[in-house]
Amino acid sequence: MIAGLFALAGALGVVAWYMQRQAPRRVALSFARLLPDPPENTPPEPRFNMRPPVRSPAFWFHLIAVIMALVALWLDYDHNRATPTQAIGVRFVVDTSYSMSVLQNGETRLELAMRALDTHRKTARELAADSPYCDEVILVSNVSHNPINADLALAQAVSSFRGADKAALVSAARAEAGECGLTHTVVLTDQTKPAIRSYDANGHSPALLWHQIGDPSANAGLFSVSLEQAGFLEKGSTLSVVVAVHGKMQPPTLTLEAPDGATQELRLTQSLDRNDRYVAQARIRGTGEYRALLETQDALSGDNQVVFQVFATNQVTLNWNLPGFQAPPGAGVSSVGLTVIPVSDATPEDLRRPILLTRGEWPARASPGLVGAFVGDHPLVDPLNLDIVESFMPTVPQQGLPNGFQPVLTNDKGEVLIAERIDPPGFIVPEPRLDGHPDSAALSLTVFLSALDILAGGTVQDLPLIWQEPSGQIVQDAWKETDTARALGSPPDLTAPSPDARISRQQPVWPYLVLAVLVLLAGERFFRVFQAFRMRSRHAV
Amino acid sequence: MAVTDPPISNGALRRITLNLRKTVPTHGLGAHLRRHAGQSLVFREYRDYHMGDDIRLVDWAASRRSGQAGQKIVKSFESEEQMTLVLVIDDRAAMRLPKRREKLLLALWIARALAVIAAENGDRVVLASLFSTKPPARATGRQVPAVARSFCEKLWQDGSNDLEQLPVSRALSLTKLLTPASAVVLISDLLFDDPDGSVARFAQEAQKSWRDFHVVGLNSIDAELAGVRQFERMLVENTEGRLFPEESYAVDDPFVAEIRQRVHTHIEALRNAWSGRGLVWHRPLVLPTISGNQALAQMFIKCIGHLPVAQSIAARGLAK
Repeated sequence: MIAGLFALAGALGVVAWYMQRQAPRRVALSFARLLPDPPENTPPEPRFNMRPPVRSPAFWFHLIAVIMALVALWLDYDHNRATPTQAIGVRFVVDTSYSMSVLQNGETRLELAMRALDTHRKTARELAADSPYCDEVILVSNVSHNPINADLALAQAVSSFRGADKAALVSAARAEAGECGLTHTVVLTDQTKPAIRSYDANGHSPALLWHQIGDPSANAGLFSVSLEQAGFLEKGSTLSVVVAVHGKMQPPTLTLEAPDGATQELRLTQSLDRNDRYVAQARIRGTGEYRALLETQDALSGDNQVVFQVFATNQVTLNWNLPGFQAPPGAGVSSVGLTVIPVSDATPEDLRRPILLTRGEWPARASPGLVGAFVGDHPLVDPLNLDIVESFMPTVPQQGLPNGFQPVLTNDKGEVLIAERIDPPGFIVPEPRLDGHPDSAALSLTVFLSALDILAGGTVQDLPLIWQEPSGQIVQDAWKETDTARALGSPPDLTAPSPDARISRQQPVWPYLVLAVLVLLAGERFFRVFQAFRMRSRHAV
Repeated sequence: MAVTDPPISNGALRRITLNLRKTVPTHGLGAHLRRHAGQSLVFREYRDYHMGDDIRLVDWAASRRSGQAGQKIVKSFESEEQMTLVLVIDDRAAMRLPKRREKLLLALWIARALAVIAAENGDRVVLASLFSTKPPARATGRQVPAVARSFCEKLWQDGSNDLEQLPVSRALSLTKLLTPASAVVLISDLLFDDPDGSVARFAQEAQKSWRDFHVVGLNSIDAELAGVRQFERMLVENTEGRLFPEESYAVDDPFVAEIRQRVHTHIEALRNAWSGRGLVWHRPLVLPTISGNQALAQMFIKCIGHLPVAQSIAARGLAK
């Protein structure tokens, strides 16, 4: 928008410039003595000539030049420019994530990677022979660092205490080339090659060589911990610990240490959906810092211990205001809990909080009726037998719904039986009745308790984990590094680029536009000279 | 190389001179040649014997054939006098227009070329300016090129550049340069004013006694109009005593047509005032509209070989 306004202003400026009248020129003429007297008192002419300068080629030259200059200022577009080459430029992308510290015959995987890098460098130099050669190294943990000199990388590269994934490696491999025109990119990592092409669609990008480092090494690690809040009839929350086991090894022993120092050994059972996942559950009551520990001697130690915080294991609390009924057993009663109250007694303050409202009542005897149309699946309607509902149709008052509530289930007269509010969450259901027909009582309890469960029921949440080495060193995202038992692929060969190999570089478009502007300006000058020459030639002797 | 050196080599100029002699028509040359009776080997006529004639000149055989007793017929011979070519150059400040292809420069090139051609024929050459007080330069034979060069250079360097000043003609002072056998060549744009008729009187004087007065005009009207037609309007600088107010002229076709008409009328008036038996009015040379001395030089090279006044001077040696 702003660019358009500037372009318009620039164009108008050029138009105005060309619509100006020229000031009279002072000239010396040898026949001036013979001129007639100049006209006297001629009225001054307006500064601008109202005739648009569409026939002036110079005007069009300048107009296009101004617009292109503005486009060059605002256009943020690069184009891919590929140039033929026989030179060799190699980018080494080295994975320095935590798993590269796995030992193999006394050497870490990172040290093996740097040896491989050195070998590739020598090969590339031999291939380059007399042609220019350059290389650069990018160290990647979960983020890419700037390219550095290969010798520097060989001397200083250390594995970090971070987990990383393939996306960071691929991103570094595909990053724009710097001063070194790339013909090859070698990724040195312990991860398997992702399903990506070695060249881009045009075949102009550098060849991508994925060199996997490190023999498979069995390892187990703590993967995740989730906490399920206690239900109405339960005491304490449920803690679920997921352990990943890769390679040929037995599931290790899992120990949970409570905030009060009590420890318990948890039994790991294999996950139903994945062979490399084991799950253990524990009932916890106290809040505070828990510690889970895998007792094993595997490849990585940084994923065997996690620390996490449990802030609440309380039972569901209710602000129970339903006369004639008692709160469900196992639920705490508090004025700050979920409010349960008849619609007629609810205050505006109550309505601004999560709330379960009762309105109308279920019949003591059969009261046939019809359910109105309803749309979609709703967790409150799904468990209902609608035949029973139509046999014991509740009676509801002819009143409007409080603000924010939308009907979920109505009768054929449009009277709302069940309504819901999304934010803050709330339901309106008929008040349960236990003294009537058993079906009616069961139905009323089903509806009421289902709504109560949806509003206040236990939820499962993943807890943020802090992985630690035995020394206490924190390892970020260690779960990404647990799989050290991947099958090792064969190393790639670094070969000479094909005769039609091209170096691809991203280049901005704006310099070309500036060049076009200069050409237009030069063209305008040339045209003026040409025009003057032509005019003179007409009058030549 | 001096500014006023003609853009043509001496060798080329000599070849042009020879060529002019070959191509000149026999009946139209030597108009500036003055001959009278005298002592030479070239027979002129028979005439009656007068008192005081040398008795040795009596052709007795012819006297006998006359049939009258006592009648004596004497033989007379040609007495050749060296011709004087007077090159008069209009050196007003307006002759320095248009810029970068000045008429004065072309006039000086032509004058020097004519002087060299005349010197080749053994003529005496006189160079004079029409408006400045600079004394005329005279030379004969081999001295001509050097004298002409010196005169023209000084005229070019020291001439007036004040366009606003009214030029005053010094034509009458040039009449003393006229010898019995002389030809005057005036090189000018013919745009000057002659309020006291001095130039006209000089022109008439130059045509007396069978002498010739050649006028070589330089037309710069097209060249100057081509320059000003780029503008919609123009203001004119004060020129030769005429003051222009700060009012602009619209440069359009009617304006240009009126200019041409006025110039034509003025030049015709000059021609009528100078008209006489010896007036030779050559077709004017039109200056190029392309700016730059290079174009002017090309034009000079193109026209010098066909200039009628050059033909007349070159043919002097073949006159009979």
